[in-house]
Amino acid sequence: MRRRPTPEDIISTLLMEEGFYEVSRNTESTWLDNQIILSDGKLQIVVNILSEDSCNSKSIIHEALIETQKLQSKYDGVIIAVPRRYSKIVDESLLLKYGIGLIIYDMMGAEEVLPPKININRKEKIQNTQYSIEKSSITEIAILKSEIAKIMRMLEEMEARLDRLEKEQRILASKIIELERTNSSKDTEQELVKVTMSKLHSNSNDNLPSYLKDNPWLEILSKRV
Amino acid sequence: MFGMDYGTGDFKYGPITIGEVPEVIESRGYFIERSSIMSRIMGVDREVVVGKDLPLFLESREDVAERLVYPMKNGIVERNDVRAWQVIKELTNYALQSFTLDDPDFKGFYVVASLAVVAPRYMYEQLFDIFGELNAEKMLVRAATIIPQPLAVAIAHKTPTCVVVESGHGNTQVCPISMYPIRNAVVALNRGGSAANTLTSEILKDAGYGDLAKEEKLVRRVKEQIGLLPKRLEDSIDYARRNPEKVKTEIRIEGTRIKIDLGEESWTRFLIGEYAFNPGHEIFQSYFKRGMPRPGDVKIGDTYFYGMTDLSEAIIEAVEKCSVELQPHLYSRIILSGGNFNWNAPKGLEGIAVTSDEKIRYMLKEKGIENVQAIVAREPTYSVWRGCIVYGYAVPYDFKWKWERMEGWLNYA
Repeated sequence: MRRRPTPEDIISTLLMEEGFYEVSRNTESTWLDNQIILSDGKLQIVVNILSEDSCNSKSIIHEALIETQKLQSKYDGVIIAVPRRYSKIVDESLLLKYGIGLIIYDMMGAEEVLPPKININRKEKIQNTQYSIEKSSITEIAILKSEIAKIMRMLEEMEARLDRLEKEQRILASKIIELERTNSSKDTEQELVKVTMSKLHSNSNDNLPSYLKDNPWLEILSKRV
Repeated sequence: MFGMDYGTGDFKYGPITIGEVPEVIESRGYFIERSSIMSRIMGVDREVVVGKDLPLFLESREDVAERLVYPMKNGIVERNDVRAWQVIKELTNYALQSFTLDDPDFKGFYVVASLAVVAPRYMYEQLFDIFGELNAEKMLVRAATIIPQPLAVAIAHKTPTCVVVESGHGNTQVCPISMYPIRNAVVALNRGGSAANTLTSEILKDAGYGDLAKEEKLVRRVKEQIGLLPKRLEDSIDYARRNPEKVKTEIRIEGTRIKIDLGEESWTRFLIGEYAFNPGHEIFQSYFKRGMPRPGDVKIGDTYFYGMTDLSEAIIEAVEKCSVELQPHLYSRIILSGGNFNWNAPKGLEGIAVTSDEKIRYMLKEKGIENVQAIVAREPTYSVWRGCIVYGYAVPYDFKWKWERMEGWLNYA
C-alpha cells in the first residue's frame, strides 16, 4: 500500500530542490510536531514543523517560535513550517525581523514564504574558531616539527655514538682476541717448559742434576716479581 | 734454558739438558790472518776464531802475542776495547750455535749469563745488545738475564745466606749474600789464579826452566800439579827443608819430552798457594825486588780492586759492612768457589799442606773469628754455570728486566 507523504517529506522535498539534503529528523520533540535538519554542504538549517493540531494552541505556537529563535545560535538558518490553513496566524513581519524563515505546507506541497536569514556571525565565529584552531594547529605543528627535528638530531647523535661504540667494541674485541692468543701462546710456552722440566723430574729423578735437587733457591727465586 | 759463565780465564756454557758439567773453552779469541794457510784450508771466513779449534790457527809466538786476545781483565771488559767485545760476541755465538736445534719450533734459548759482581752497567748493556745482534740471522736468544757470579755460586750450593768468595783467573770477589747479593759489601781483589801463575813462572825461571816460563798455559798446568797451600807458611817451609824427599816431585807434560823437577827448590811449591791467599807475606818481597809485578790496587769502573789484601782480611771487611745481626750467619757459611781454590793436601803432607777451606778457617781464627764454616765448592769451575741454570729454571718468565734491580728477563721475542 502506498504510504501517504508526511509534512516532513513535503518540506524536505521543497528544500532538496534548493540544493539541500536531509541530515536528520527529530520526531520526538515535546513542544512541536517535528524537526528536520538539512545542509547544502556549507550551511546547515533547521526546520521546525508545526502540525495542524499544534496550531490550535497559541501557547504552543509562541513556544515554538521562541524555541526556533533560540536555534539561531546553533544553525545557520532557522525556518518554521506551518500548515497552509494557519499561515495567517503567523506575523510575517515579526519573523522577518528575527530572520526566521517561513514555509507553508499542505498535502499538495510546500511553499517558502520567507527565506531564513543566514547567520553570518555564526559562520564567521565558526570560521574564526576554525582559524584559531588552524592557527593553534599550525603553532602546534611548528612546535611538533621543532620537537621532531630535535628528536631527529638526538637520534642522529645517538646513531653516531652507537657507531663509535660499535667501532670501539670491535677494536676491543680484536684486542681481547689478540691478548687471549698471546696469553695462550705464553701459557703454552710456560706449560711446555713445565712439562719439559716435569719430564726431566719424573723420567729420571736419579739423573736430575744435583744442583736442582732440594734447592731452597727454587722457592725464593720463583717468588721474584 | 742456557747458562753462560763469562769467566776471566774460561768461558763455561751449555743448556740445562747437558746435565752436571758445562762445556768449557778458554775465554779468548784469535784474530786470524785471512790470507794465512790455515784460514784457507779450514775455509774460515770470519775474523775471530774461538773455541776448541783455536790452537789449530795459532802461528808464531810473535803472532800469538799480537793476535790472541783475552777479552777480560779482572772479570771486566773495557768499554771501548773493540777487539775484546768482538771476542765476547764470538764466544757467545759459538756457545749458542753449538746447541741450537734445527727444529722449526725452536724459538731461541732462555739465556742466563753471569758476570763478575763488579761488572759495570755498560757490560750488561753491551751483552744484551750482543744477544739481540745474534738474533738477526737466526733466533738464538728468546729472553736473557744477567746475574752476578757470586749469586750463581750461592744458588748452585743451595745456600741463601752466605759469603761467596769467587776466585777465578784474574780476580777475586768477596760477596756477602742474603737472598740477594749485598752489593754495598762487596770487596774485590786484583788477583786470582793468574797471580799464582806469575809466581809459578818465577819459580820455574829460578829452577832453570826459563824458556817454559813464558808459556802461560804450561805455567798454569805446572801450578796446578806442583802448587801446594801451606797451613802456616813458615812451618811448611821448615818441614820441606827438613824432609825434601817428601816435598820433591817431578812432572811430565803429556805429549812432549818436557819433565819438570824443582829439585832442592821444591819447598817453593808452598809459595804458590800462599801467594794466592796472602801475597803480603814478607817472603815474597825478594820476588818483587827481582821484578815480579806486585798485584796493585786498581780502580775499574766504580770498584777498587785491592792487590795485596790477604783473603781473610777481605772476608772480614766484606762481612763487617753488613748488619751486626747478619754477621755470624755469614761467617757460618763461607763458600770458596773458582779454580783458584783447587788446592789439595797430598798424601803424606796432611797438616802441612791444606785445602782452601782449612786455610781460610785457620787464617780467620788467627784474626779472632771463631765458628767459621768454610767449604770449597764442589767442582768450583762449574758452580756459576749451575747457578745460572737454577736461576733460569726458577725465575718466572713474566718477571721483566728492571735496570734499577738488575734482575728479570729481557725479552727478544
